[in-house]
Amino acid sequence: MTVALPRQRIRTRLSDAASGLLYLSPSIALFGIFLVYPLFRTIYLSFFQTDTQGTPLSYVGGEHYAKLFMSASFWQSIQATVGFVLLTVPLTIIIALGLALLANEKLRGIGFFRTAFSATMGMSVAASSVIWMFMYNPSIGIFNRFLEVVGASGVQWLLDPQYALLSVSLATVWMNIGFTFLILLGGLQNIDRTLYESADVAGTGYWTQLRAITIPMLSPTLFFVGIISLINAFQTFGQIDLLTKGGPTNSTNVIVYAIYKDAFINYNVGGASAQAVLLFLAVLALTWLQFKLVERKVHYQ
Amino acid sequence: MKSIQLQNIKKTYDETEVIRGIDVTIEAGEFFALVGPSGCGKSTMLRMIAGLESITSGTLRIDGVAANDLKPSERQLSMVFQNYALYPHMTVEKNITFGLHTKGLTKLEQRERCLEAAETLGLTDYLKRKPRELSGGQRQRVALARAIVTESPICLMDEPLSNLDAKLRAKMRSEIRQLQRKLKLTMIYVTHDQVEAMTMADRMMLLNDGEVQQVGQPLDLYNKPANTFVASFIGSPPMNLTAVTRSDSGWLASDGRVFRPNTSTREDMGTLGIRPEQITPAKDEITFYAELKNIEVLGTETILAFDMGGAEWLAKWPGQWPLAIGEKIACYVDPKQMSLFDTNGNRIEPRQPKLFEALEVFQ
Amino acid sequence: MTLRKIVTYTLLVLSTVVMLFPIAYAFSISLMDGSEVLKGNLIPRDVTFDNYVAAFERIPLMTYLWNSLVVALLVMVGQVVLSSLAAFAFVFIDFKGKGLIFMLFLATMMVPWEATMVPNFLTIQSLGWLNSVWGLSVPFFALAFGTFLLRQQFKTIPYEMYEASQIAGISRFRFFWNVVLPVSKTPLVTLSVYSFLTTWNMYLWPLLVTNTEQARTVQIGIKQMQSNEVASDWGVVMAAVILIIIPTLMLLFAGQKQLQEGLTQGAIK
Repeated sequence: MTVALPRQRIRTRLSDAASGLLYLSPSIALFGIFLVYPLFRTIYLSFFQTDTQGTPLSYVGGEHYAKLFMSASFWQSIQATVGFVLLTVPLTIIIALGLALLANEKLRGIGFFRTAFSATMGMSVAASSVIWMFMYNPSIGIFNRFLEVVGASGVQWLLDPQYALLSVSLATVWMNIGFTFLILLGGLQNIDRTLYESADVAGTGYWTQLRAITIPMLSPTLFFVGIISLINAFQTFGQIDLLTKGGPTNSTNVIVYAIYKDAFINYNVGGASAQAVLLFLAVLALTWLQFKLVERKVHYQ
Repeated sequence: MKSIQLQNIKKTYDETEVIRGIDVTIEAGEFFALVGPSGCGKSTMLRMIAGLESITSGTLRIDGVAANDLKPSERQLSMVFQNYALYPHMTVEKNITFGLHTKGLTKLEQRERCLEAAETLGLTDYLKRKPRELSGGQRQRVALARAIVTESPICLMDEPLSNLDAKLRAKMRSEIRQLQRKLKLTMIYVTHDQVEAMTMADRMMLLNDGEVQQVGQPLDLYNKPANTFVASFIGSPPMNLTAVTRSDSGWLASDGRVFRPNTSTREDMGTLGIRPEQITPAKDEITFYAELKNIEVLGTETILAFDMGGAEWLAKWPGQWPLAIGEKIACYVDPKQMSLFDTNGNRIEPRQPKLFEALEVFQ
Repeated sequence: MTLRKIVTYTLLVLSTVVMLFPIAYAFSISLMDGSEVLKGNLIPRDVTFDNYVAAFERIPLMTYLWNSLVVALLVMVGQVVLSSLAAFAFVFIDFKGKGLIFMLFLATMMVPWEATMVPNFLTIQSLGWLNSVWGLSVPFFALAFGTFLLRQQFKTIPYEMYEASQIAGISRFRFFWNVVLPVSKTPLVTLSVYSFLTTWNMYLWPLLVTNTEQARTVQIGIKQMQSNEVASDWGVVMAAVILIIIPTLMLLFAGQKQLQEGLTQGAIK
């Protein structure tokens, strides 16, 4: 009887592993086909010259990368991407935090305000962009109408290289506030009320509580929101395509838009793949860096 | 009815041995309590019997058949968990019957069994409710009903009463015991509460740090604790202990008080133990004087605290005693009721009957 | 009312006005006729619904709405099913390498989807899925975020419940189906709402894999409309915009509470 034991034990263990993998297999299969394979394929293609259908023709080594680093338009798209990230991420988080703090007050009718502040989460990039495009319209849009009323001259919001990136960023901040607000509000509501009660008893004021309790306790959520916003900002495409098409003079040609144009308009699949690899590395590095930097300062409950 | 046999059962987690070789046979129809402080391994032991935890080495036999690799559902047992593990979204009835289909019962049979179990536990009126609409005691009963409805010959319980208040706990103790007798269950009952074990069990096993300290009937553990750990774990308040050394006049505590327990040993040092309830007011013979440090009058009894060789001792006197702190009182302890432990903490057996005692003198 | 309350309410109202302005503005424009729009009015003098009628006539909006609905529902079901199966395995099944696989799942969140779009496009093309709902939905079925979110939830289910079911001889799948899913309704709703919103609003991928009127989704429809109608008929464009945001806004308002709680849980714990 004891002789039979080990074999049986192995069988139960195997069946655990097998059924675990069975439950995971749909996800693993799809990740394999639509994430892992294309990731490696992208890396592979970035070393090849391809035809318009993406079939590799000849190995070119690092040529695509070399070309990119030599090209002014690549550096411009890096500049646009970095500028876009810097303009959108901090502003979105600050505004959303402010709104979340307001909406976290226990007041009558607060539910309405919460809904209003989260509304942009239900708005698609396309719909939002069309609305903002109209608002930026030089002759009939609200911005220039306002400038007209105060006596200033109108601005070519989306056509002036000086303003285009700023305009797109502003629209993006508005679009992203809904999601960011919702998560930060959730984070605020998870903070133990008794912390504030004991601070009230100690007689501390609103700003002291904000600095000493709210921000430290919210830091894991802020950290999460920071990473998500950063990654999202790097992946921006829709508003660029609709509002500026990367222009004027490439001032809003962010990296994903550049990849799209190279791959699907210029049929330069190799070059597009090289940029995609760089995008991947950048997101990876930034996520890692932010994790390392912020992790130490984040207060975990 | 099924018996359960543990043969040198061991459990290791990442090189740490948490169960260090347990041998015991639990008889069919026996109420067997597994007791010990938290972290002693009693729950692990129970979970190994249930099949929820693998057995590192040794053999588990259920009714003589090796069961190490049987699935939990093949071991003919039911289990009641500390948190009851009721399914919150199902009615009481569904909770009780969920899983019966695996035993090949028809809907009608399931319902009949469920009604029977509900009847036994007084749940008939609550069958349509959800667990959150029940009190703690009722939830406990649902958990019990779920165990008995399977009609498994073996029932395992893991601290089933620890979430109830003291009054309800006392009531459920006797109910569970009656249920076990009525259904002739082989019961293994894990608890950290020695009172539960003492009052419910036919036999009990005291575990500490993964090792068996003593197995026996509750009164054996109470009267003849195998070591100082058992002595201090069983009984409430626990047995008083103090270090003693041998002298010509008897065993001396560090403050010079002398005890003459009814034991003989060649050891020079040891630990003396006396249960609080065995320290009585002296009538003529006086064992020692105690200077009272604290007095708790509980109505039916009075607990007196005093110092004994640097350890705090308690005495439990029946009735209400109007004594004052600082008062010196004369106490008596029957030498036959004194326990002596060697330097390793193991019990030294009392002196043998007269004949052998006489022989020993001549040695 | 205390001063603090007055200040808070004032700030709340001002913020609401700013946040909702673009939506209200779009709605207002959608009710104007062409000449009023060109005058740059804020509020329509004469309210007209002609733009809404026109929106349906100019583009096959019904087809687009239907396509978007089908794709969003498919992705929603796909993500919920795959994520819950995977999360169940991560919480309730013990096997070697589980930790490693979980780390790999998390790591997929670091891969920007756009970095893989070229080969993905080629894959869909070779599968013959261009212009089909499958090409629009299947690549998104596996979702690490959803798996992570549900795993957090499943971990709050007392493990003893699983053990009790094992002792009762209940099969794993039955436990998953009859216990785990029913007690996790809230996070499942959260994930569903999240999936539906993000899929309905998807832009780049439908732009790549659809090029016929029969296959397009509303987001691409609106792009087409906007680029064809610029400077001529903003009222109609805005009417279409309002029509395509209504479903998601309603869903968001209905599920806002769950979404907030669920997402926060996924974010921190």
